[in-house]
Amino acid sequence: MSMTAEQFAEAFERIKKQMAQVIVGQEELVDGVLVGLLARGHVLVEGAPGLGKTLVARTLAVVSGCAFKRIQFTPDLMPSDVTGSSVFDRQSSTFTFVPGPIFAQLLLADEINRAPAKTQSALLEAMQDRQVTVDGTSRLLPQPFVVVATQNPVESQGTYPLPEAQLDRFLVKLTVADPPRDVEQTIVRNHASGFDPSDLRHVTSVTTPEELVAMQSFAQTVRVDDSIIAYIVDLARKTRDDRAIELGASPRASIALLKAAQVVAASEGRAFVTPDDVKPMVKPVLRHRVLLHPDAQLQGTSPDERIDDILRTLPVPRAA
Amino acid sequence: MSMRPLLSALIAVAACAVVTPASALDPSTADAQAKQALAEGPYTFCKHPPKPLPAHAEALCDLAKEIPSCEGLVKACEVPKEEPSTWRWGWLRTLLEAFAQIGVWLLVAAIVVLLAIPLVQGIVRARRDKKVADARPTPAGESGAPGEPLADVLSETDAEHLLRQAEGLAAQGKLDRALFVFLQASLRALDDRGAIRLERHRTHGEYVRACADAAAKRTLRELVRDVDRVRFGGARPDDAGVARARERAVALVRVATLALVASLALGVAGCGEAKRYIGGADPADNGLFVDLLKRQGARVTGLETSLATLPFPAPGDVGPVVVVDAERVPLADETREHLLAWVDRGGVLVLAGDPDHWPKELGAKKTKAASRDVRAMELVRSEDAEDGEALVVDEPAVLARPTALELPLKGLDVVARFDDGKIYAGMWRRGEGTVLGFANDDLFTNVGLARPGNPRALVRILSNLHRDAFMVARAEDGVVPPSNPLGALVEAGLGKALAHCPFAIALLFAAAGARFGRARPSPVPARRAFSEHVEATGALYARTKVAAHALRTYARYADGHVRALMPRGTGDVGAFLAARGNLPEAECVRVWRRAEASLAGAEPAGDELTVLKDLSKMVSQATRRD
Repeated sequence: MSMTAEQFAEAFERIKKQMAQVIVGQEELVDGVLVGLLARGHVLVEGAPGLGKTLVARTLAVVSGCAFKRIQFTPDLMPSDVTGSSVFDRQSSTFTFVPGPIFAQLLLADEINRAPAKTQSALLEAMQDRQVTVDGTSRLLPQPFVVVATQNPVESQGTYPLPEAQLDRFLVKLTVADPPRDVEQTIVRNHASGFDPSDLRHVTSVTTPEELVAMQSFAQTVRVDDSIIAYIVDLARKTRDDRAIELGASPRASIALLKAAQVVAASEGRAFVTPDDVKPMVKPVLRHRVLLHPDAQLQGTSPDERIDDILRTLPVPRAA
Repeated sequence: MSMRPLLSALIAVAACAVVTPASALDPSTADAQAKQALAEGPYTFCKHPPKPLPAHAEALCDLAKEIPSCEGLVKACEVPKEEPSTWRWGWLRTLLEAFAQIGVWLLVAAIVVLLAIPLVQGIVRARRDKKVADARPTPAGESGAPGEPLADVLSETDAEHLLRQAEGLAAQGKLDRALFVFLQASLRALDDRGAIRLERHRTHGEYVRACADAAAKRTLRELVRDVDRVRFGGARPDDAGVARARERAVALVRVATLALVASLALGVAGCGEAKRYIGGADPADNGLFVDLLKRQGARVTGLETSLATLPFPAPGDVGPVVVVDAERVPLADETREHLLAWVDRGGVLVLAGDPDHWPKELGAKKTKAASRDVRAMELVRSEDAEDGEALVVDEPAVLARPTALELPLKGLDVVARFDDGKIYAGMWRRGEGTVLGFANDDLFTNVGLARPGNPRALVRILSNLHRDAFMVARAEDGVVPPSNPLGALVEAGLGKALAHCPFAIALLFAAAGARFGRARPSPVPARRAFSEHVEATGALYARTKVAAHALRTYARYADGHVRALMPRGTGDVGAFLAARGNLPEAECVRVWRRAEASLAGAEPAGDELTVLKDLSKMVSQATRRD
């Protein structure tokens, strides 16, 4: 299924429009999740409870027609609870593989930092390789496959923060802020008039997994000029030179930024990337990949602030 | 019937046959022409004179009643002058004036500072940006062909120049580069208009989104789209695309230029109500004089240079007559000297106005005649007359002021005389040239020429010069043009401001510039390690004897930091520290309890620094990354 930039942009807009029927005022989150999905990446969403993180994932699943599964991560969750396991069948006297919830196209990993490191690792391995190995047998995951993981930034007791190496597996980290007053009023008004977030039957699918795969393929073909690549690399390298950052972005971050920018460009109906496509994705792609120095942490500096500073000091490619 | 008019007419007829050269001016039609000019021209001084009347116009009031249908001016002349008030509280006024003056100066200083701060910031920003740009090696993809520096939108401040550069590139066939420079010209123009703010880190899309000019936004968006398609999309530029870009850039740049010109024009003209033409409303203006000469068929122009730089006439050259009204045109000393030298070289000068303002070398003195009635004369010399005796044709006129001349000169031809014999106007040779002097400028004013009979008399007097080209000096022509810009500022009354400028700059630098100066890049200081930072902070707390606060602060930090690492369900920080750091549990629990007590606001016990030190070690040990 081949595709043009205009068709990509039209499909992107179609999905967004359908999601906007349910999601109110979370355009950035919706865009970020879509970019993560179409760039063949995974999305980490951080925000307080009740801001619509789960609803976004569920709505996307309905709108895109993807198979959706949800795992509520808890401290006692085992890797096999995620990946599935082989169960002894008495009738056939054989072990039969019972797939876990990871065998979905859109997986919502709720409160991923509640599970111990071993379980997290099982998921993260699947995210990276897009296959699951159980009892020595590798099983491919369906296409497209995207994990939308959430975590709560407030509660830190009894959590297992994701190590930097594992955070790096997420293409983007999206932070969900409280909605503005008027948006919140609209949300409450919708509920007052009978909206039920658990019932998404009125939402129809406007795309197919096949179309999403085609969009993923097209995004990879979007042209990236050398100067844009240089700009992306410079951005990543700047995070390594920054005095307030102890651990900068890795080359994988540069690649993630490139992929995200390609999707943004395609969503605008262009078959080439401009600096304008890169800049809005810098913070979502880099914020979880940089580790601030303790001095900076004590001063209350956030990764976003440091990234903003870096963006301000780096000239964008302009003239030829 | 008196024989005198008849005799005069006969003499005139006889003279016409023998006179050489003939005058170009015709006194007989002057009155009718002046009347026609008054009817057709913008002369409203009779009906709507300025109120209050200017001093110069006030001096002409005596003539107002002699002008038909000039009731407005008569009425304006009858308005009594306001007497200066005699206020008892004069000292208070002086005080208030002093305060007002101080206020004005403070306001001026504030405006200067307000204007200068963004300027200084801009300079500092530009230097910083330049440093960033210089420090960054330009990638090959950005530099274009070697040896062909591309215009930089930040360093090039002239949008028109960029536009021309782009057009040049397009003409050379360098279409891609032309496209980019067209965009840069547009961005520069929009920046100049304040619609966007140019910065190196901003993308084209950000400029479009931030563009405050809604009309320009769409054009800029289309231009950016075209340029990006070539720049980043790898599309090949074509002539049509470049023509489109040029059209859009020209629209953006020229609109900016027009806006700038309009704002400058507004600035020059003032933002208030446009001043209406007052030449025709001013009774003392010389508009009617100029109008009359033109209707007489004379060529009347303004001066092309200042009177102080009037070019000397070439020998044998019959140049125009220069008319200078000394009451209207203030003459600087240098101007007076040059004017006399100009006459000596063959120039013809009509000098009207107060003789006290004439060049001293002419020796003219002011005196007073008994009446305001004047007889103007045209001297008509016969070629046969050997003794130089002239035939005289005279015209009666009435002036506003009885100012007369005393000119102790040999060879003076009196061309207008008061009834008591005193001289109103005289003509004499000086060097190679001629001077025709009038004791006042009444006959050159609108009021003077509005009185029937006066235009005829004036033209009769001017006929003595036998010229038909006149250059009338304006008020500013008497000023010596400054030789340099500083001189111009001083002459414009800005000398004081000029002197104040260095002080203002010094003050500004002291206030703001020095602060920015300190921000210049300096060698990066070696970064202090976190432990050193903690030690230094601790030492500071110790010096300031706030050990309890130090412990409380550190305990709060440790509480948050350590609890974030603790597994869910565990709440004993002391035990966690012991387990993670392989430390004695009892000691850890003791230290942490003391820290918690401090957090709860316990009274200082004197052991805060020791506890703080121990706790710091424990936290470091427990949170160390292996």
